[in-house]
Amino acid sequence: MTRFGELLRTLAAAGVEFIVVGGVAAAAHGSPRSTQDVDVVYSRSRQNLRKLVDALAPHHPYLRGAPPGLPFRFDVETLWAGLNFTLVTGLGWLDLLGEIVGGGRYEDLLPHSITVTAFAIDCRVLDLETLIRTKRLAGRPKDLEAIAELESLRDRPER
Amino acid sequence: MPVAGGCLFTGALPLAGAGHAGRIMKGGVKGEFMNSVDEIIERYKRDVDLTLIDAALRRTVEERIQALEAFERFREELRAATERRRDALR
Repeated sequence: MTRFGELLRTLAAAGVEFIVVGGVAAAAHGSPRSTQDVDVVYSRSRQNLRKLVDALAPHHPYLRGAPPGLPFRFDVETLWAGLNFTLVTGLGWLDLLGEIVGGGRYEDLLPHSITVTAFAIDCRVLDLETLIRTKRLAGRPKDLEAIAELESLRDRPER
Repeated sequence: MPVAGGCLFTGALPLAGAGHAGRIMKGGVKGEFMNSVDEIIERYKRDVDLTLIDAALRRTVEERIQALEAFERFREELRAATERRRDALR
C-alpha cells in the first residue's frame, strides 16, 4: 500500500526538487479518482539525483514488476543513465519521471506548477490546466475519462 | 484532436441525441461513431459525478490525499478478506 503523504514528506524533507503529476496531482486539485502510485517529475541535476538517492535508499527502491534478485542499484549513476523509473519502495509505489509527454522536464514544468502545503511540507504540484493539457497530448485512451473529470472539475464554480 | 484510424466505435457508449446516432455497424450491431477525442471526452463528461467532485473540493489538499490512502487501505483489507474467504472454502 502506498503511503502518499509519507512519500511526499520524505522527498521534501531531503530537499529533492520534484513536481507531483499524475493521479496524486489530480487528487490534490479535487479529483475523486483513485490512484495507487505517486508520480513525480524530478530535476535531473546531479545534486538533485544525489538528494533523491539519499532520500529513497533507506526505503529500498526496486524496479516495480521486475523479478527479484536483479542487480539493480539505486544510485546517482543509475539515475543519470536512465530517465523514467517505476519503483516499489518501502513507502509504496513511486514513479520517478525525468520528463513527461507534452510537458517536458522539471524545468519546463516549474512555471506550470503551484505550491501546496500538506503533511507539514510545501510541495510543488502541476497546475490543473497543464495536467489536462499533458494528458491530452499523451493521447492515451485510458486517460480520456480522467480528462473529462478534470475538465468538469476545472469548470466547477466552487473551485 | 483526431483519433488514430479515423473514428472510434463506441458500442458501450450510446450517444442518444448526439447528432450522429443510429449508424448501423457491419454485422447488424447498432452503434455510433465519434470522430474526435473531444467528442469522446464530452461524452464522458455526461457521466461525471459532480457530487463527488464537490465533496472533494470542500476538503483541504491534505484531506484529499488522505482519502487516497484511506481507499488504498480499504482496497487492501477487502483483498485480504477475499483471500481469507477463498482459502476457507478450499
